[in-house]
Amino acid sequence: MQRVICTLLWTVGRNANEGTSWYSPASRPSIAALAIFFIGLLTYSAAAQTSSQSLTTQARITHAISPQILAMHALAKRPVAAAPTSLELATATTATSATFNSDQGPGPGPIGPGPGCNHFPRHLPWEQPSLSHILARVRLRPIRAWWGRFNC
Amino acid sequence: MGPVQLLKSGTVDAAHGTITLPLYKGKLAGSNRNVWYILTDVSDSNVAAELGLNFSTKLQFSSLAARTGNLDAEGNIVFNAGTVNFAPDRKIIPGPPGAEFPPKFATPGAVGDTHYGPLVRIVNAGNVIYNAPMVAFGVDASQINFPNGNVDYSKVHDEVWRSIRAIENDTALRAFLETAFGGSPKVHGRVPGGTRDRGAVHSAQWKN
Repeated sequence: MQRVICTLLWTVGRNANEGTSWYSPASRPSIAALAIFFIGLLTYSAAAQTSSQSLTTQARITHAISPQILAMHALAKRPVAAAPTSLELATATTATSATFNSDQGPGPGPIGPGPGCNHFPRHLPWEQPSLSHILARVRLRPIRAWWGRFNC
Repeated sequence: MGPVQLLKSGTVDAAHGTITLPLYKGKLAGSNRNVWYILTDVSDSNVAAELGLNFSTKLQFSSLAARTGNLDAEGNIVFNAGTVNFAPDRKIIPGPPGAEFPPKFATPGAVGDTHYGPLVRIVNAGNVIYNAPMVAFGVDASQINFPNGNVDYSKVHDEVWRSIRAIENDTALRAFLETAFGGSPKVHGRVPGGTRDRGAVHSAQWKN
């Protein structure tokens, strides 16, 4: 990389002294050096991204566990219990809800009778009204008509 | 929990909004204190199928945040850290009608220490991550056996609804816990953490 940069600097310096154009044969090495320089940059950044992704992959637990490990976890298997039927339910529960969803209470009602939120107002709050609207407000019809000749 | 029951390790009572789950008796490493917990989610699909748990593939991304533990010879977890104090009394006073939230007053019914979290990574068994919320800590089975209701919430999680049934036999302790999906009844108003989903147990566990 250092050699490429030196070559690039040497080439650019010589071009400035000699005043050659980009199309001249003398500038071809500089173009090649620039191309190599940017290709090196791209390669380096791609490698950096690949390394970070590999770190992330290492942090994951993606491998399948072995049968021996699965057998260890299988020791935690318990029989599924039957739902208790002889239990006395809590008084508050039976008195307030038929299902557990009703415990949350009713949802909120409508916000109001208006049209609701207008996502596309005529003027946004931070916008200044145009000159034509100011004229409409003050009802200067002659001036408005005159302005309309230029604002059509 | 929708129309499809993903947590197959328990029996759902849809009429009352409860589920009866196996209750596990683990230990806290370095002490002889009991850690009572349930299992709801796991990061490995094979383990999920084997134990009837919900398979959550994203749990594997929490490997750095989850506390650690090891499986013992009976399949129970020996947790390396994390305790919960269930002694506080949960109190909540909702706001005025129509504006119940935020409540006027609220205190959690359980407070976890700085090391507690419901997720645990099993170090000695493939680094599988469970969602294993604690429901009681430092108590024996006889202290949390409430077969007829009247649960002592100073010893167990507030979402434990009506009963914990413990059955001792020769090989292992097999206990079942009944817990509610939803929040408390309306005498408590809208309780924070009283969500309708299966994660209510987890979300209701407050952590300071």
